[in-house]
Amino acid sequence: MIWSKKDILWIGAVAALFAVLPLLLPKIGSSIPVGTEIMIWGIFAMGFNILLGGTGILSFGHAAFFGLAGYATGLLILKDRLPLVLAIPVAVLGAFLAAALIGALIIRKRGIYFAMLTIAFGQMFYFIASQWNSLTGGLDGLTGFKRTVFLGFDIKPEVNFFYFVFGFFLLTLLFVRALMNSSIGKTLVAIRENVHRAEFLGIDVKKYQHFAFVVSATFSGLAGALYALLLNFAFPELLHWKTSGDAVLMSVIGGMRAFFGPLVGAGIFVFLRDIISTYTAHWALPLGAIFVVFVLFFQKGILGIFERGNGE
Amino acid sequence: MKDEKGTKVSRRNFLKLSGATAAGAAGLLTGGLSGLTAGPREVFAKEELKVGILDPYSGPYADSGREQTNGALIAVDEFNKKGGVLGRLVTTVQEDDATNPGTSVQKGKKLIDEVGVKYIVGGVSSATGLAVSALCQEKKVIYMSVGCHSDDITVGDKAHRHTFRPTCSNTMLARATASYIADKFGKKWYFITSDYSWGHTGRDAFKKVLAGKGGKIAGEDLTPLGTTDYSSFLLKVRNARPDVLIVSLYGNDLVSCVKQFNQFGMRKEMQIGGPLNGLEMARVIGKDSNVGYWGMPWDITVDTKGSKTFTANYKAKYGKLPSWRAFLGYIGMQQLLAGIERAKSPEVKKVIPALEGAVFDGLKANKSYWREWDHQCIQDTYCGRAKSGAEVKHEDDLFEIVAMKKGDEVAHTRAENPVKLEAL
Amino acid sequence: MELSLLLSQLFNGIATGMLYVLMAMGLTIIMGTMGVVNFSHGVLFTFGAYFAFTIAAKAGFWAALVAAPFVVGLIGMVLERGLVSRVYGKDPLYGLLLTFGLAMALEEVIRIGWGTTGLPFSPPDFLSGFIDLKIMFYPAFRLAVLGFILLLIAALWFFLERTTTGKIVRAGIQDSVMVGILGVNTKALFTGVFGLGTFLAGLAGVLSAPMSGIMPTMGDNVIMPSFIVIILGGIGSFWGSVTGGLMLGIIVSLCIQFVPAVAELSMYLVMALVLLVRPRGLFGEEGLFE
Repeated sequence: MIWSKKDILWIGAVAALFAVLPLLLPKIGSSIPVGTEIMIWGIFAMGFNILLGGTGILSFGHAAFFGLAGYATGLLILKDRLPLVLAIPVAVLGAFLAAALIGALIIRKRGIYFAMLTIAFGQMFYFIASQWNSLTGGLDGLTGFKRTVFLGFDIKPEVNFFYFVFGFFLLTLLFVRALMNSSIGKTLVAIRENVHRAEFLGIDVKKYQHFAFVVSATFSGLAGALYALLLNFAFPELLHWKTSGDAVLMSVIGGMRAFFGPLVGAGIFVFLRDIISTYTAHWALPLGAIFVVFVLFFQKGILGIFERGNGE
Repeated sequence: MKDEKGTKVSRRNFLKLSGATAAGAAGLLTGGLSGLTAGPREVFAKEELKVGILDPYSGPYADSGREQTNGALIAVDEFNKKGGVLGRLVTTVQEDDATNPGTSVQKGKKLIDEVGVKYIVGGVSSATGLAVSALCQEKKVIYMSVGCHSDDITVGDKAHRHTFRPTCSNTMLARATASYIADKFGKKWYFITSDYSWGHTGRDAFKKVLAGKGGKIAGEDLTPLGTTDYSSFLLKVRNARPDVLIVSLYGNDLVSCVKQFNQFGMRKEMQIGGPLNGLEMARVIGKDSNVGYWGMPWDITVDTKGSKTFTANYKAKYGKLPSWRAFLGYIGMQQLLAGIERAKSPEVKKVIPALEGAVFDGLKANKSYWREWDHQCIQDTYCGRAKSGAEVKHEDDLFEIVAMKKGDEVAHTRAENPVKLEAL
Repeated sequence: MELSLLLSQLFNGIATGMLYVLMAMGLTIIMGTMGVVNFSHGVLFTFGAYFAFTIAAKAGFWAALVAAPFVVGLIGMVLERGLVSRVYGKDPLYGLLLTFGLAMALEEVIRIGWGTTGLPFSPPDFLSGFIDLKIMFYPAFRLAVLGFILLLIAALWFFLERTTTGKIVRAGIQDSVMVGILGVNTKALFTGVFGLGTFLAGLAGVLSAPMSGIMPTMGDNVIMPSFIVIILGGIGSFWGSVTGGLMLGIIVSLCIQFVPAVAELSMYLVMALVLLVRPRGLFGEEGLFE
C-alpha cells in the first residue's frame, strides 16, 4: 500500500480545495494565474523538500534546474519546433540529466561546501543564460513562444492552464507522498537523522543522497517548464541563487518536516508577494523577518507549530 | 506516536488539518482583504477608466521610472480636470517592474488578470518593454512603451500591433547625434555597451552612422546591466586611443561610467557620447563631471509654447524641473487618453486605429505623428551637449541642445524596416 | 599587447582586490570563530555606505569614514547578541539560513529608510582628481583606498599577532571550545569578533561608495566574490583572505582584458574547482566544515 487511507483523505481534501480555487480567487480580488502560480511553486518546493526536509541536505542551486527546463521548454516550442506534449518531457528530462551529472560530481561533499557548490553551479548557469544572447535572448529573456495546445486541449486561457497544471500538481502530491512512504523514503530519513549510523548499517549513503538530489531537481524542472508556460517567457533570474532561496524559504516557513509544509509555504509566499505588494513594495521585510523567526524558533515551520509536542 | 491504521481523527491530524485549512484560509483572507479594499473601487468601476502604469521604481533605472510616472500623472490630471475621458474619470494603478523583464511580465499579468486594465503605460528598460509588448499582444491590451528606445520595439518580428512607442528609436537618436560627433571629434570610436537589446541596437545604430562616414572601430566591450566598476574597461579604452568613446549605457550604469571616465583622467584625451543621457543622471554625475554629447528625446530648453507650459505645470506639481522622462510619460499617457476619446470608445479594437496615423502637438517645433505601419511616434530628435563647471547657471542647467533632426529624416524607412504588424 | 596595459590591469586588479580582502577578512573571522556563514555581510557592507551618506551630509567625509563602520559594527553586535548567537553549536546550515533571512529583511529596511533609488556620494575634494602613474592615469581616491587598506591589513596583523586580545581571537578561530575551557569569556569574544567582522564590512562599504555609487543592491555584487575569496584562500586564514582577495581581483581584471565574456563566470568556476579539488583552499585547515 503506497498510500494510506489518511494520505488519500488529505491529498483529496487539498485537491478539492484547489479544484474550486478558480471560482474563489476572482471573487476575492485575486486572479486565476495566482492560483496556478501557487501550484507551480508548490511543485518546486515539495520536490525540493525531498532533499531538504526529507534527506537533510541544503541546496541553493535548484533554480538552475528550474530555469534550465523553463528555457528548454521555450526553445523547444519556439517556432513550433516541437509540440508541447513532447517539449515538456524533453525539458524535464534535460533537468534530470543535468542534475544527475552535477549531482554525481558534487554529492561527495557535505554541508556548507555542498551548499556553496550548488550556488557556484547555479550561478554558472545564470551567467551563461545572461550572456548567450543568440540562444537565450540574454538579459532580455526569451520571448516569441507561447503555450497553445496540449494533445488537442487548448491551454491558452488562464483557467484551462490552471487545470492543466492541476494535473501535474496532483501527480506530484501523490508521487512525493508515495516516495516518502516507501522504503527509499524511510532510508532517506534515516540518513537525515544520523548519517554515520546509516553508513554503519551498510546503507550506500552517497547513492541515496544522489538519488534525492536528482529526484528533487527533476521536480524543479517540471515546475520551471510550467512556469515558463504560465508567463510565456523565460529569463535569467529563474536560474539565480535567490530563486533557489525562495524554495528554501517556502520549505522552512511552511515546515520542512510536514508533508504539506512546502505547499503552505508556497501559498504564503505567493500571496504575500502578490497581495501585500499592492500596498507596500516592502513585502520582503515581513517575509524575511518571518523566515528568521522560523529558523530560530519554529524549525518545523507553520505546520510544525501544530505538531509541537507530538514528534514525528 | 505514529498511527497509520487508526481511523479516528487523532488530535495531531486534526491540528494538521486545521493548520492546512488555516493557512489556506489565511491566504484567502488576505486575498479577501484586498477584495474588500477594492470594494469601493469596484462600485465605481463602471464610471472609472483604469489605466495600468508599469515603470521601474527600483533597480538601476529607478530614477527614470519615477520621473516617467510623474509625467504620466500630469496627463491624467489634465484630462480629469475636463471631466475625464468619455465622461469617465481616469484612475491609475502603478506597479514596479524593478528594471527586470521577469518582474515586468509578472506585474503586467497582475495588472491585466487581476486589476483588469485594458491599457498599460510605461517602461524604461527595453528588456521589460519587449517582454511586456509580447504579453500585451497575447492578452490584447494596448501597451504604450513610453520610454523604451531599442529599435526592436518597432522593428522586425518583436514589434506588435498592440504596442506603440512614444519615444524615439535608437536609430533616430543615433542619426541625430552620431554624425554631429563624427564631424566634430573624429571617426575612431570605442564602444562600451550594456549587454541587452537597447545597448546592442544603440551601439549598432551608432556603428552604422560611423561606417557611413568611413570611420573605424577601435574596440568594443559588453557590460552586464548593473555593472558598477568600469575601471578595467576604461583602461582598455585608453590603450586603444580612440577619438570618441560611445557608451550605450543608462541609469546608474551611465552615472558610474561617466564618473569613472572623469576619475581616470580620460576627459582630456577623448570625447564621450551615446544614445541617451538626461537630467536625472546628470544630477547624480554632478556638474563637475558632466560631459559628452548625447541623444535626447526632449529637453527643458526646447523653445515651444507647449514645452514651456508642460515644464511649468510639472514644476508646480513636483517642485522641480522635468527631465525628458517626464515628458515621455506625459506624451504616452496623453496620447492614449486622446486616442480613446477620438475612438469614442474604450475598446482596444477601436482605439488602435484611432491612434494610427494621428498627427498631434508633441510639444516640439514640428508636429509629431503616429506612423501606422510600425507604431513609431515620428518626432523631432535632439543631440544635447552636457554642460559642466562654470557654465552651469542653475542646478538643472545641465544640457544644451546642439542639433535637431526632424523625425522623418532619421526614423527607419519602410525599406529599412520590413515589419508586418499583426491583424486586429 | 602593450606592457603598460598589462601592468595597469594588474595594478587595477590589485586595487579592486583590496576591497574583496576587506570583506573577506570580516567574513573569515566570523566563520572561523563561530562557524557562521554570514550571508548578511553584503547588506552590512551596504549599510556602511548608506550611513556614510547620512553622516557625511551633516559632518563631512572624514566623520563618515570614522563613524559609519562603528555604527555598522554596533548593529552587528546587536544582531549577534539577539539572533546569531542562538545558532551556535548547531548545524552551520542554520547560520546560513538565518543570515540569509536577515539579509532579505535588512535590505528592505535600507529601502524603507533611504528610498529605492541610488544616492550620490563624492570623495573628498583633494582626492577627486587623478594621478599620473606613467603607465596610466589612476584615480587618486582609488590609490588612497589601496594604501589605506594596506595599512589596515598591517594593523589587523599586528592586532592578531602581537596583542593579547588578538591572540585570543586567533585561538578562538583555531578552537573556540578550548578557548572557553581555558577561561576566556566566549560570549564576549564571539560578540566582539562579530562586531569586528561587520565593522570591516561597513568600512568596505564606505570606501566603495565614492567609487561605485550607493544603491540598495550594491551588496549583491560583493557578497558572492567575498565567499569565493575565503573559499579560495581558506576559511579562518588571515593570509588566505589577503592572497585570495588579490588573486580574485587580478583574475577578474585579466579576464576583462582578454576574455570579457567569462569574467563573471570565471569567478564561479574558480569557486567550484577549489571546492571540488581542495575545499580548504590555499591556507585553510583541513576538515573544518566537512
